[in-house]
Amino acid sequence: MNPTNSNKKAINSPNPPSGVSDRLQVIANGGSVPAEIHPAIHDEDSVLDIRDFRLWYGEAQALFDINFSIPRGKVTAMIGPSGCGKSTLLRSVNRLNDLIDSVRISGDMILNGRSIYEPSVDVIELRKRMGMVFQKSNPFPMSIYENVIYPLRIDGERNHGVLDEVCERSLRGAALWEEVKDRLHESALGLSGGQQQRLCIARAISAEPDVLLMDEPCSALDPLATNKIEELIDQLKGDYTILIVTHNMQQAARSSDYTAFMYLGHVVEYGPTETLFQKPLLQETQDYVTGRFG
Amino acid sequence: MNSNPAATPQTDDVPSGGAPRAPRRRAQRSSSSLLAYGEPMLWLTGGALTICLVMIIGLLALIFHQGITTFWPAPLVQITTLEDRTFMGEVTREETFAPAATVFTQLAPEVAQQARRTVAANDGTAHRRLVRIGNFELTGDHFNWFSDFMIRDERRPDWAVTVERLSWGRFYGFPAAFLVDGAVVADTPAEVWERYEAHHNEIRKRWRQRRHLETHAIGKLNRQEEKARLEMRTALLQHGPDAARYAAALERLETVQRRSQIETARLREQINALNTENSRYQLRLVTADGQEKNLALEEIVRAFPANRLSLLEKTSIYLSRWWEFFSDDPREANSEGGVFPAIFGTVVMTLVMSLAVVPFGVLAALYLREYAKAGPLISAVRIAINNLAGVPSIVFGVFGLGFFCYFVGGTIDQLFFSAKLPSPTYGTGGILWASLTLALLTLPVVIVATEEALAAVPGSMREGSYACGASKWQTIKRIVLPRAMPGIMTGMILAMARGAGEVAPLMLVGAVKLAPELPVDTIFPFLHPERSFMHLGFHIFDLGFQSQNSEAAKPMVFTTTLLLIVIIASLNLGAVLLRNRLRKKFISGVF
Amino acid sequence: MQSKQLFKGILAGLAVILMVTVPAVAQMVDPDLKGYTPVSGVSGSIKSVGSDSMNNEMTLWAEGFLSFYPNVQIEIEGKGSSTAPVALIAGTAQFGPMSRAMKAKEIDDFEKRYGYKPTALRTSIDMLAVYVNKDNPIQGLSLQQLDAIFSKGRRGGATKDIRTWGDLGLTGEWANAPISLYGRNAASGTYGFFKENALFGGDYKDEVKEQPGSSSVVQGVARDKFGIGYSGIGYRTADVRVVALSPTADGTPVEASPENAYTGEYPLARFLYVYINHRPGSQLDPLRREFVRYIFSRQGQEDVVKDGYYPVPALIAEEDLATVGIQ
Repeated sequence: MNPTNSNKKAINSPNPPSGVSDRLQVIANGGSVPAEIHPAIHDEDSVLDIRDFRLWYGEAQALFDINFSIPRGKVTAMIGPSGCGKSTLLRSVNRLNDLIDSVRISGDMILNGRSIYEPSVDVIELRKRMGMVFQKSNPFPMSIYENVIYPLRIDGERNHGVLDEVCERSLRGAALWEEVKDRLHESALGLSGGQQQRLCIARAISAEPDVLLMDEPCSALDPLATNKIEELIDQLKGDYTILIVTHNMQQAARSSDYTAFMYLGHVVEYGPTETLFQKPLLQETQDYVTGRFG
Repeated sequence: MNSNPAATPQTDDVPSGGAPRAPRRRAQRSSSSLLAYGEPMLWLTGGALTICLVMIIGLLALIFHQGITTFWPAPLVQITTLEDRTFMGEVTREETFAPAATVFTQLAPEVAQQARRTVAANDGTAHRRLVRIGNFELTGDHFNWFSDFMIRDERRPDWAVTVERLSWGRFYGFPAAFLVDGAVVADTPAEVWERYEAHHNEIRKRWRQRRHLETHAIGKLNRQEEKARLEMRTALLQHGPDAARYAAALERLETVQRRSQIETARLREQINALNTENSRYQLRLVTADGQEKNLALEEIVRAFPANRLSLLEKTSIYLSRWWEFFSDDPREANSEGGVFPAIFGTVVMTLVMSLAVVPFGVLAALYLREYAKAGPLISAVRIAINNLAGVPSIVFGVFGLGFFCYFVGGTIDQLFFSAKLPSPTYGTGGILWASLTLALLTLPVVIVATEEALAAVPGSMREGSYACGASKWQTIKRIVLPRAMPGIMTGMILAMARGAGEVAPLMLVGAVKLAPELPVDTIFPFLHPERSFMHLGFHIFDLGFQSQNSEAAKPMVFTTTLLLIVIIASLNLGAVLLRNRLRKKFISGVF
Repeated sequence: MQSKQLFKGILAGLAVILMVTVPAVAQMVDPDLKGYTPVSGVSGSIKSVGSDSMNNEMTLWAEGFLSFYPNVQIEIEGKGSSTAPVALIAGTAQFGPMSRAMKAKEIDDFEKRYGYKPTALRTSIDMLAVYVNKDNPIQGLSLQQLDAIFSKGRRGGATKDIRTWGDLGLTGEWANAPISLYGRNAASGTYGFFKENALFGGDYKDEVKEQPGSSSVVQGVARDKFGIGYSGIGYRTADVRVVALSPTADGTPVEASPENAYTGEYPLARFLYVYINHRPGSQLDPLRREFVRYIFSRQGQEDVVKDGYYPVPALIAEEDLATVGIQ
């Protein structure tokens, strides 16, 4: 598959906004440019290596030659305008894109030294090692308690002691315990939006995953709830490797250690958050993070 | 939409800044303003709803009114005609009509003259009433029309008595004497009535005792004998007439027969004793035209002096008639007594149907929605299912008869019940086959409703479950099905409503006019899925179109219809309550 | 036609014991009939499929029979006489009530399957009554007139089609009122019998409103002031009148009364049959034997009266019991 060709069909993107430099222009025209990767990354112990990853929805290519690694125990943010492929990339990590019939991929991702996309990989086992939080909170139609221990339930865990303990630990981890400890067996659908999202985080960490994937976890929440979630991300950092997709520059700046800037399926620049936001290598990144386009 | 970012154009971003938009110019066309405001549509939609409601409420009100008043005890009128004949009974209907000239020519001259005068004074119209005169074995009629101009005298006699009997329909008369062992012990109405009330209950109790003996004790013996006979038949079929086993079975049969003959004789003696005791008491009634008739107290279901009742007594008779209607077997070719077997049959059939159709429908819908890959084949299957819902129900009846009764049932009979052949066991209509036929009929309803419910489960929930490492089946079992359950229940409710009200296919596959034996009872093996059954819908049809005494059956049609509606409504209500409980669990209060 | 001779021959003797006036209904049962006495060891299930005119009669017999043997299971289906031979041949029913005699074709089919003919039991007597609305002044009709009213071909010899009540001599509002016809559907034995005997084998007019049940014919006529219909005498109600019939165009009309049925003067009297599958010379199984005995007992024949039909005399009862080997 010729990437240039497919790109034309795939992305009927508007003309790049004025003031956007050549690099983005090249990408928009279907060309390819290597990502600027800050050397600081290479000093980190990486938990996930993404290698030459490409992805197509049917005939339309959505990700182009993604190459970068996610450091262990850190928060990595992915930013970029809508449609740049950051959610797609996130969903490729736990192979949620497998559910869409038309998706094809090439390249690979290596989690803790083991391939994610090899044919012999058990997808279900893989997903159990990762937690995921979605843009819109999606508690299941069951009690708060059952929601939190859902990953253990499907694993066949029956021991009440273990389940109770996991439930409490996860809810505490998601800073929700105090609010719901008296109504664990009530429906989760009765919680407020922010609480529901924290419940989903509790569910995502209950199986103690290697990686926590967060897909714009705050976009549907009010500022107060957003604050809480950000505090939570801060607390979880260290215990978990967190990969977060966000639209919110401030959020990325505040809560992440590393940031990747993506554009139309390409990684443009990837480096420590502070550097990326203060003095990025590329003018394009500078333009984006300061809100001159996007 | 985050799932497909590459395909999403960038335009859905919130515009940041930019010039304020000029207000859009509104089209100013006065001619469209009425439509634009939607007034005509409001009237149209509101009117359509009103017409629907009026028709539905009208129908329900008619059924309710007719059904609810049937059992209220009516007063008795005694009518003496100009021809000097006296009748007594309950007025059931009245109407105004214009008598033709020929009506009078059949009368005696002086009578005709008087009648003509009355009618002429009334502008040529007259009023007449339909009176239930009962006493069928004496008069040969159940009902009679009386024109007002033909009536010389009319009154409500104080001691007129309505008698409901086990057979021959109602009897109307005056209590003349109470007989014990053929001797008169009381002969004034008040005394006779006192005696009647003193004895009637215990006599009915003895009668029930006798029925119990006949049904249970003798029945048990009969069943033992039948079993031995079947064993003998089986031995004969399997081993031939010369085999030792056949001889043994034959001998056993004879033993059983001998024993049961002795037992039966003993029970018969008990029954006879009860009968003899009961037959000692008789009530002598005199009809309005002076004929005497002795009624055995045992034969009387209920009797009351209709014109002497207080409101309380009337209410108690009213309720006791309803109770009889609910709890008794039908009598007199279904035109009297109760409809209990029909109620039971309807409910059991509906439940068995639901048990059959819901799992099948849900599984089929699950495959269609969750597993099958969309394509022309699946589309074709969907269309076929939707078309199935439009097939006339009688076609299902014919299919049920051919496939379930004759083919499946016939095969079962050949394999397991060959001793009973040629009389079929499963090879004929029965409640199981009827339920399955209706399950087939209602299958599309369940499939379509379930598919819709499954489609309505948010994709984010499924993704959440997959992201937790759940397999497809785990996701379906733990997330999708519970979430879709209210919708599935809706499908079940619709299926039940359709199934319980369906009659046409049942006539072919097992609903019959008379089947007092219930499909579930206390006799081993307790469930008898091969039995035919009575069904309220069929009962209504039967009362309406087949009844010999159609005038008396008419009010029963309404009561039975009312009952059927109440049963379907309560089955539905139960399912709706269940659904609402489920729904409350799953509906989010936020967003 | 054949049944008419039967009546004349067999029933003449019975007329003697009938009173001159209309007897009280209950006394119509031949006193020579024996009361039913139960025996032991009767159980199992009975299924009856056939005539809907006899549906109530079968039900009454079943109810009476059940009062002696409460454990017997009885199922009754009545959708038309034509369903009886089919069910008997298929073995799905033990009793096939029919309101007409089996046709030669049906007997042949049965014989092909079993090697002997089905046994017909003459269980009761019906008069096919012609009903009009209770306000209709018509006095009597001849079979020829009936034929002209109901049939297309007028095989009975009537010269003119009859379409309005005026054609039958009624005056006033009736003179121009068209006759509204009610009849049974083709599966019914009543349909066949009326066609054979009143229409002389001719075809029904297309305007005949075919009804699903005997009772619905009567109810149709009860609602329709200008209606006329035919149905069993047992379905009479106060809302309709039974018209007297004369067998010939100029004869005096004969009332549909029991004595006229027994003497055979009423032209549309018929037997109501119950057919059973009985190998000649063999014994019936106890269940069917007892049910047949019940039908021909005093109680069974009282049930007939209850249903508005007429009982058979002891003579016929004995004869028919003998054909199935019951003394």
